[in-house]
Amino acid sequence: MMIVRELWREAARFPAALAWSTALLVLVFSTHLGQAAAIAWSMSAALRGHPGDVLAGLALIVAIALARMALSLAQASAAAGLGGRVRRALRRRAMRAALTPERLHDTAARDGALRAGLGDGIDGTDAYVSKYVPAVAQVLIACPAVGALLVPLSPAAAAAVAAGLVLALLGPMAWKRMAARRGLDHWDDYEGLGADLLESLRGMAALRTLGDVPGTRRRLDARSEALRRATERVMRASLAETAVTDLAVQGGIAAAAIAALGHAVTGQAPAVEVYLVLLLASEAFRPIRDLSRHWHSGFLGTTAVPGLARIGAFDPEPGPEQSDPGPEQGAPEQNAPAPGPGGPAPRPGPEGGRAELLHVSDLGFRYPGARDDVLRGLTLTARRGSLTAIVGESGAGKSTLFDLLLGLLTPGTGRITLDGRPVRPDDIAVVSQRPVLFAGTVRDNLTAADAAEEPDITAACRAAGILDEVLGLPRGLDTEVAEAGANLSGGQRQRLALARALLARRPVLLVDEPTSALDADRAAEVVRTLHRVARDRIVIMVSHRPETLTGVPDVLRLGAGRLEKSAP
Amino acid sequence: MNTASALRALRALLPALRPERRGMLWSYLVGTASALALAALTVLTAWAVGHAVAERTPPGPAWWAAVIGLVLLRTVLTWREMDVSHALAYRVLARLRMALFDSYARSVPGRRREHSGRAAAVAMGDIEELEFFYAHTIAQVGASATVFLAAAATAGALLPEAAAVMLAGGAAVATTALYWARTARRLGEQEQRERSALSARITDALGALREVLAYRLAPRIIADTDAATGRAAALTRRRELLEQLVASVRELIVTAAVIGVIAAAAGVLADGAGGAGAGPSPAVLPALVALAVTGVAAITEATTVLTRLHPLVAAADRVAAGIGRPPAVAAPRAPRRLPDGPLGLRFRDVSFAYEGRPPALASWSAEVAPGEHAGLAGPSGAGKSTVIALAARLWDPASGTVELVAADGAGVPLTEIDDAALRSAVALVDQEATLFHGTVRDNLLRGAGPRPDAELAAVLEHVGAAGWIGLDDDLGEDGVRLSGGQRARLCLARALVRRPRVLLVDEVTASLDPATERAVSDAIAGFGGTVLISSHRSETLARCGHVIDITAPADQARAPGLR
Repeated sequence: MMIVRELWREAARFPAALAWSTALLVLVFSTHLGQAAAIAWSMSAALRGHPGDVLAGLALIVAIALARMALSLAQASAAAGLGGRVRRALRRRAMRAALTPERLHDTAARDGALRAGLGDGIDGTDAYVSKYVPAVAQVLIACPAVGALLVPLSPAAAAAVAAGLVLALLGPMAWKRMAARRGLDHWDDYEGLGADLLESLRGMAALRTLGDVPGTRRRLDARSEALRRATERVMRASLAETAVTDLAVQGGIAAAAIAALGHAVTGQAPAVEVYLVLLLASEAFRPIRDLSRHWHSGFLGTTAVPGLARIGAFDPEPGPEQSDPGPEQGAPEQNAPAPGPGGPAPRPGPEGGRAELLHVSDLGFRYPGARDDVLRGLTLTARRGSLTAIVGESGAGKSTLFDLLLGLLTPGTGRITLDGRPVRPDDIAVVSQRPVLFAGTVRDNLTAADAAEEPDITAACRAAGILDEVLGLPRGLDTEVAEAGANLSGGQRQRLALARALLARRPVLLVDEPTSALDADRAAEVVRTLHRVARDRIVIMVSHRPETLTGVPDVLRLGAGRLEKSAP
Repeated sequence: MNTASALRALRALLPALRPERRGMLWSYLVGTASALALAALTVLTAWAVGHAVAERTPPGPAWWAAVIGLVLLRTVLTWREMDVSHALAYRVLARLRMALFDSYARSVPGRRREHSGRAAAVAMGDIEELEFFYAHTIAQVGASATVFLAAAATAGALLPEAAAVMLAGGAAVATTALYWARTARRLGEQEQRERSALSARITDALGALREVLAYRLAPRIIADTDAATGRAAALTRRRELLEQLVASVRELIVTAAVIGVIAAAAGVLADGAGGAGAGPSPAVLPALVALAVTGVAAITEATTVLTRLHPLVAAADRVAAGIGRPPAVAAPRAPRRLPDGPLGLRFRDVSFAYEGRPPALASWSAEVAPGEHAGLAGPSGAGKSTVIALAARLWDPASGTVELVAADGAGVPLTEIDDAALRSAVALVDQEATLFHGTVRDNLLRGAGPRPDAELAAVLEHVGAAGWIGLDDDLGEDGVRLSGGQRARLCLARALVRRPRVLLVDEVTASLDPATERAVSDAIAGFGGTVLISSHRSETLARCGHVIDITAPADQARAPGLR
C-alpha cells in the first residue's frame, strides 16, 4: 500500500465526492459478500437435494448481480468525478505557478519538462485519485468487516485470513522506500527526455542544417534508455510488491480452506457454513487485489508528484477561483480589476486610456547570480505627443529595461511611475523584437489582449501596414497561424504584433526594433504609424536604423547601464 | 473509425514486436503456467472441501504438498510474468520513441507546419498509453485462451453437460469484447485529441511567455486549460462508465454461466441419485464448479483486456501516423561525391509553394559563383527565406533543381548528395536559428565533431562575442538571457566552427545595432568560402560582390553575371 500524501490531501479537498465514491465501492463489495452467501446456500441445498431452495438461491444471485451492476456504474461515475476534479484543481494551480515572469530569465527552465508535468504528469494523478484512494479506503473498511464475519463461523479461518491480510499490507512496506526513490528517478528521466525531445522538435530545422540529427539521436537514445531502465527498476520494485501480495492472498485463502476442512471433517459445521467460510475467505482479499490492480495504473502519476510539487501544483490557491487576480506579475502594487475565466472582461483603459508622462528614476537591476548590474541609476522621462527612441549596443540592457517596465522583472532599485502613480502591467502594450504568435487564427492573435470589433481590427491592421497581406491570406482574418507564427514571415509577424499592440489600447506602447524585418518602404510606413500613435500615447521605441530615427526629438543612448541624451 | 481500420491501427503496432519473439513466447509460457497454477489451486481446494463435506475425510499428504507448492509457485510465476512482459513492453516503447524521432527528423519542418507540442504529446503521452497493449495483450490473451481450453477439456471429461454450459458461457462472454466498441473508440479518440490540444496550448503559452505576461493573458490561458481539463475529465468519466457497463454485462453472463454449471451438475446428481450412478459423486461438485468458474474467468480476463484496447486505437493510430510521416527530403539512392575546392550555388527554374498558399517561388533561377559573396535582395515576403531554406535543403523544390557548383562549372544537385556530406559543406544562419540548452561549447560543437577550445575561443573572438560570454557559460533553452544581437553572433559562430564551404545567411543583421551589424558583417566578409546572404538592409547588401534581386524577371535573373 503506497500512500502519496499530497494526492490524499487533494482528494480530501472534495470530501463529499471522496466519501460518496468510497461508500459506493464498499456497497459494491457488500454485494459480493451477499453473492457468496447465496452461492454457499444454493450449493448446500443442491447437496441436500432441495431443488426449491436451489432455485431460490439462484434467483437471489441474479438479483444481487443486477444490483451490483447499478451500484458499480454509480461508483465508476463518482470515482471519475473525483479524479476529474482533482485533475482540474491541480492543473489550474500548476498552470498559474508556471506562467510567471521568473521563468523568462531562468537558464535552467525547460519547456518540455514543464509540458510533461503540466500535461502527462497531472493526467497521471487521475488514476491514483479516482481508483487507488477509494480502494485504500475500501481495504480499511471492508477487510476487517469480513474478518469479523468469519470469526463466529470459524475462528481458525478468521485468524488465517487476518494473517494473510496483514502480510499483504505490511509485506510490501519493505520495498516502499526503494520504490519511492526509484519513482523519483523515473520522473526525472521522463521530464528530461520530454525536455530534450520538445527542444529538438522545435529546433529540428537547426539540427538538420547543422548535421546534428545523428548526434541528437544518440543523446535522445541514451535518455530514452535511461528512462526505460528507470521505469523497469521502479516497476520491478512494485511488481515484487504485487508478488508478496499475491502470496498473502493465495496463502490466506488456502489456510482458510484448511481451517474449513478441519470443521468439515470433524463434522462441527453444516455444509453451508463450510462453503461460506471458503467463499468469504476469498472475498476478504478482493479489496487487496483491487488495490494492487489499481496501483499499476496510477504508477506514472504518483512518480510525477515530486515534479508537480516543484512546479507548485500543490501550493494553495491564492483565493476563490472565480475571482482569480491573475499571476503575480512582479509588480506588487497592481490592483487591476480581475478578468473572469472566460477571457478578460472588457475593461476601460486606465484613466480613460491616456497618460501624459512615464517617469523612470534611479533604476537598477542585476540578474541573480550575475557579476555586474545590467542597469544602474537609469533615469528616463517619456511624454505623450512624440516618439522617444532608445539606441545602444547589443546586450546593453534594452530588453531588460523593457521587462522592468512591463513588471516582468522586479527592479533592484528605483521606481517607475505613470502620471505620478506606480505603473501597472496593463498600462503597457509591447511589440517585442521576436514577437511570438499563438496557434489559432489571425483574429484570435490580434484580439488576444482585448476584444475588438471588425472595424477596429481593420484599422489597426492598416495602421500596422499588414492589412493587404491579411486580406490576401486564404481565409483572411480567420486564417490559422501555425505554432509561434512559423508560417508567417518575420516582417509579417512584426506587423501583426504591432496591430495587436495598437488594439490593446493602453496608454504606453513599447516597441523593440519595429522595422528590423521590413524593407525600406514598409519600414517608413510603420514609422509614420508610430509617429501618429505617439499623439495619443507614450511611445518608446528601441531602434538602430537611422531612417527610423529621423524626426524623433528624444533619442537616448543606453550604455554602461545608463541613458544619455544622444546627438540626433 | 470502423472495426477494420481499428484492426489496421492495432496491426501497425505489431512490427515493433518482431525483435521480441522470444520474449513474447517466454511471457506466454510463464503467464500460462501461472494461470494454470492458480486454476489448479482453486480446483484442489474445492475438491478437498467437497470431499470433506460429503465424505468426512481429510485430504492426503500429496494434497498438502501440492497446495503449498502451488501457492509458492504461483507467487514466483506471477512476479516473473509481470516482470518479463513489462520489461518487454518498455523495450518496445523505447524503440517506438526512437522510430518517432527518426521520422520527425526526416519530415520536420514540413511544408505544412506542425505543432511541436502535439508532436511531443504523441512521442511521450501516446507512446506511454501503448504500454498496456505491449505489456498485457497478446501473450496474456493467449495464456487465458489456453487455460480456458484446458478447463473445458477437464470439465468435459468429468461431466460433458457442464463443459457444454461452460463453452456456451465462454462464447457469450467473449462477444462482450465488441459491445459499444465504436463508442469506446470514439471516446478514446476525443480524449486523445483533447490531450494533444492541451499539450499544444501549454507549449504555446510557455513559448510565448513574455507576450502572455505582457498582455495579461495568463488568466485566460489558465481558464482555457481548466475548461479543456474539464472536457477531458468528462470524456474520461464517460469512457470509465462504458467500461464499467461492459464489465457488468460480462459479469452477468459469467454469473449465468456459473448458475448453469451448478444447475447442470445438480440435475445430473439428482438423476444419478436414482439411477446407475454414472455421474460424478457429490464430492466432486464443488471442484467442478470451481473449474467452470476458473475457465470462464480466464475468458473474462482476456475479454477485459480486449475491451480496454478500444480507447487505445486512437493513440495507436497517431503513433503509426507519426512514424509513417512523409519525409521532407528523400535520401539519395546513389549518393554522388562532392567535388573538392570551393562550391557555388545554382538555382534552375525552381518552384516552391507552402501547403495551401500561392507559390513562393515560380520558375526562379539564379547562380552564385564559387567563392563569391552574393546578396539576395527583395521586399518582405518575396521568398528570400524560401530560397535560403531550399539551398540548405530543408525542403526540395516542387520543380527545378538546386545544385552545388564546382569551380569547373559542373553541378551536383542537392538531392543527390549524402546528407552528412551536404551538412559538412553548407552551413545556415537564420533568424530562427535555435540555441540549445547547454553551454556555449555544447552549442558550438553541435554537429561539428571535436574541436580544441582554443579554436572555439578564436571563433567567439572573431564574431565579437568573446567579451561577454565564455565557453562554459550556460545558455538556457534558446538562449533565454541573450539579446537578439548576441544570439545572432553565437549562431554565426556555430556556423563558422563547422568550416563550411557555403555559408547561407538569412536576415540576421536586420535587428542589430550598427556596431553589431558591422561586427557580424565583418566576420562574414572575412569568411573565405561562398556566401549567400539575404537582407533588405542596404548596408549589408553593399558589402556583397553580387546582389541578386529576387523580384527581377526570370529571364534577367537567368542571365549569367548579372550585377
